[in-house]
Amino acid sequence: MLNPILGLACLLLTAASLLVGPADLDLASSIAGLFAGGDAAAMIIMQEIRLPRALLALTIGISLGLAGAVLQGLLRNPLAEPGLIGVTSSASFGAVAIFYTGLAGASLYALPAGALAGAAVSVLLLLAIAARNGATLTLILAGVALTSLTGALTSLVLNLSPNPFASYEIIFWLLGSLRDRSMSHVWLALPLMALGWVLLGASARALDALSLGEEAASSLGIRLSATRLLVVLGTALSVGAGTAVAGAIGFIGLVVPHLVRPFTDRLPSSLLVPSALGGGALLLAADIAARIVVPTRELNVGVLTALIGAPFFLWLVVRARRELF
Amino acid sequence: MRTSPADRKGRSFITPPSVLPDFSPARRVIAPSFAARDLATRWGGEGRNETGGSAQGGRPPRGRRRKALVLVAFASAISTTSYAADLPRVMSMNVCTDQLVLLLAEPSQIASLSDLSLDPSLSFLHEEAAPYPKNSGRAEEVFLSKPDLVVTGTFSLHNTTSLLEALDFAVEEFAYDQSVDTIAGEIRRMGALIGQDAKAEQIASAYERDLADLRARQCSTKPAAIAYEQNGVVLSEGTLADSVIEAAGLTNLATELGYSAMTPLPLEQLVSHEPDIVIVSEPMTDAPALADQIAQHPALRSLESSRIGAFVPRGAWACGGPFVIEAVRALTALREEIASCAPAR
Amino acid sequence: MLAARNLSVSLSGRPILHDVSLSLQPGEVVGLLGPNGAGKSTLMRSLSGLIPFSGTIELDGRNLAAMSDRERAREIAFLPQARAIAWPLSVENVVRLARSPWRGFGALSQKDLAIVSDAMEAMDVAALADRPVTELSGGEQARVLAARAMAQTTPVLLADEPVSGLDPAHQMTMTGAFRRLAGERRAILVSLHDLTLAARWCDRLVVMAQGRIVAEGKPADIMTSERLREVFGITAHIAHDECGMIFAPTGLAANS
Repeated sequence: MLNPILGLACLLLTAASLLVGPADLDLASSIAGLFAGGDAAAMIIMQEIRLPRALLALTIGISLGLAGAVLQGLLRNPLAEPGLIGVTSSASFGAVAIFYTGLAGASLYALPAGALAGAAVSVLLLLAIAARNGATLTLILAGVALTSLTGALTSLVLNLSPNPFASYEIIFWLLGSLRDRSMSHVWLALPLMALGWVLLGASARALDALSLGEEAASSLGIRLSATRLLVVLGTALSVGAGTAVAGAIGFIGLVVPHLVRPFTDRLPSSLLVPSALGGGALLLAADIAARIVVPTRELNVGVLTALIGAPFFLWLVVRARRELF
Repeated sequence: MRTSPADRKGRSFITPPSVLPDFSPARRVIAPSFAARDLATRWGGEGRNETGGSAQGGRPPRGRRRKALVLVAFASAISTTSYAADLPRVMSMNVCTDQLVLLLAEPSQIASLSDLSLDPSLSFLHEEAAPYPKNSGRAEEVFLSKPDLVVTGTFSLHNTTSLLEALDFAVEEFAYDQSVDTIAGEIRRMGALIGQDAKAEQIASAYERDLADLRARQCSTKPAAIAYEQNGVVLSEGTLADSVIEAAGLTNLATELGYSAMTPLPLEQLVSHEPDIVIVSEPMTDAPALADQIAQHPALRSLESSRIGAFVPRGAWACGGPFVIEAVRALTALREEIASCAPAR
Repeated sequence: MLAARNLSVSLSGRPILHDVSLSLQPGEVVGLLGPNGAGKSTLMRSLSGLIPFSGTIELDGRNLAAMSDRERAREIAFLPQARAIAWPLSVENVVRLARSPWRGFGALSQKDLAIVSDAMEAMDVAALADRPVTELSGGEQARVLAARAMAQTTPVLLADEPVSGLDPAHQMTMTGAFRRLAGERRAILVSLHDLTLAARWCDRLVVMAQGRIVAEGKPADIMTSERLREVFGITAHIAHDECGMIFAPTGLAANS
């Protein structure tokens, strides 16, 4: 019941996302423009501007929701989230480090390459720090440190760039946006994200067994090293590719699994599909809001997700205070 | 123009001017069509290799020396009797005043120029600026060099300016709020400040004459143009670029849409209005930034009926100066190419 | 059926087990005794293949180290001492996890479900089937986890302090259930601290100290007051009744 509802929400919000934009297009010309026909301008707007935006919001949302659910399962920690524990900011830094230094020319392909590397390194680092003892506090503190460090390095690289626009792009890399993306961004990110989803999904059974702890899980025939590898690669691919084209968007992977968990049997595997769909729906909704909240000026969608997510996080912390310390 | 170019951070608010090659090979012809020859003869350049070329045009070292020599020759031919020793030594701390000083002053008058004067995307005369000492706009540097006059922009170095004034340095500020019509006045003002009135008058009146000639070529057919800069920022009402577009006989779509100054315009808006001309800018440096990617957006490239390219010579409308006429000239030529003023058939 | 020979284990460079040899036969319950830090948990972990070791462990003549994780999980179940369960899963879902080495990609079969419900019955947690484990008492959680280990239906079951924290009645429930498993020709190794319970419950005892096996045999043969003093550092009153031995510690042994 939960999955069909969330799936429907994704569909409706994708449609809504296609209908929202500064250009005044009525419903008929929007639909005509989307499916090749009618006015040339409407066609370009629908196919080259709004469609890639909606697709990216949906697929990046799916990536973040899914990665959040999987990381929570792997680390047995309800506060694990790619943004909070520094994975997205590391991905941002990776992308920035390779792109702005011109190591790969001005090629867009430099972005995912760097972001994937950044995300993978951060997940490995976090596993090294926090996997042995699953203490919530260790993980969150490591994440805070990693986020600050990579955020500072991102700012440093951008400040040192001789391109005067670079320093203004700090905001984008720390609080992402989906403004004026194109289909080339979709083709760049989607295959990588999809591969990431497959890897993350393949860890489902192992995550269930991990509910009982690492020893019990191993005794149930789960290969921990293989599971970790799946999660590291899957997170790096899905979160890294998404961050490469949209900047760091936080808190989706925290909020969504929490919202859907009460409607499941709480097994980590049961959480994956609802978290993915919920992530897609939430990012689509946030991106629509980013365009209409302030009519004259578009907001960065990362600002909105942080505005929703950070208080939510605080609330979780307050609620879990006793467990934390 | 509302810009604050003097410090590095402020640069991104500048109208980064451009001589970007056209996107499609078919349109490529346009960009070089504003005569490189013209620039060479008028501003002592040798046709700025970047024109219609790639972003890494930079400053070819060989050309630089020759151009400087040409400029010196040009300058000394005009300034008749004055001896450099009697003239005030001037220090410029802003990329726009740098260029006025370069045009008007004797080389021996120039104490130093701002370090941005070397930036090809901001400074039309960046090659000519090369031989002179550079400053980074700090009061200490003024102390060390003790110029008779400091010229700077109104916005750029507020604290420095007040400090210098308090210390009894002669500081003259030049405003950024410029249009094609204020430029001649600014040239004359700078000429008077540095004792080069005659030369200033000559350049200013030549500018006015050229501007009037170009304006005379306007007609009632006014194609819509838009200056679409990095990050999708449009140059609209109140900017120098807006007055250039108007002087070239075009309509600035951004101003028509009610935008003013430098504001981001959603790409959707641009596409839905299908302007006849989209003036994009080439990257300011070789260092990549996402800001430059907007010019490559497929939606922009799919606009069948629009001419898209970096039609304005690099650096020509970043500052008020006589070279702004080159921007007007280039856009006028483009307008005449796409919409003839000949009586309707 | 499970035979370890010359087993040595070092963790982060520190030797924990020295040259341990041990075998388990089908149908017997073996008690593993020893003071804290004697190496009981490490022995259990290495026997279940979870940590690297030197020496050989064979299962019906097959080398444990060469088996796949899934194969091994069908032969040896391990009930760790740590009882933390990360999520508020229902009791039934926890026990169902035991079937993961056996299941394919589909849902659990009727046979699997029957095994799960039998194990819950055996551990007296069937009534809690739908309750979230995180809301249960420590003793209830211990029984749920024991049911999980039982439902893995392996020939060998290794249980690290399964009865600690249980009330006397449920200690009886658990020992009874394990006895029945042994009756089904399974081999069971349990570590525990309750000497009386160990002596009455187990067919054979293995006593460890400082990473070595110091004694092995029938309770009556090895649980002497001398051994209690040497290994456990206590003096105790030892009595016998028709069910076996009774140990009542009386004090700390004098340093010798």
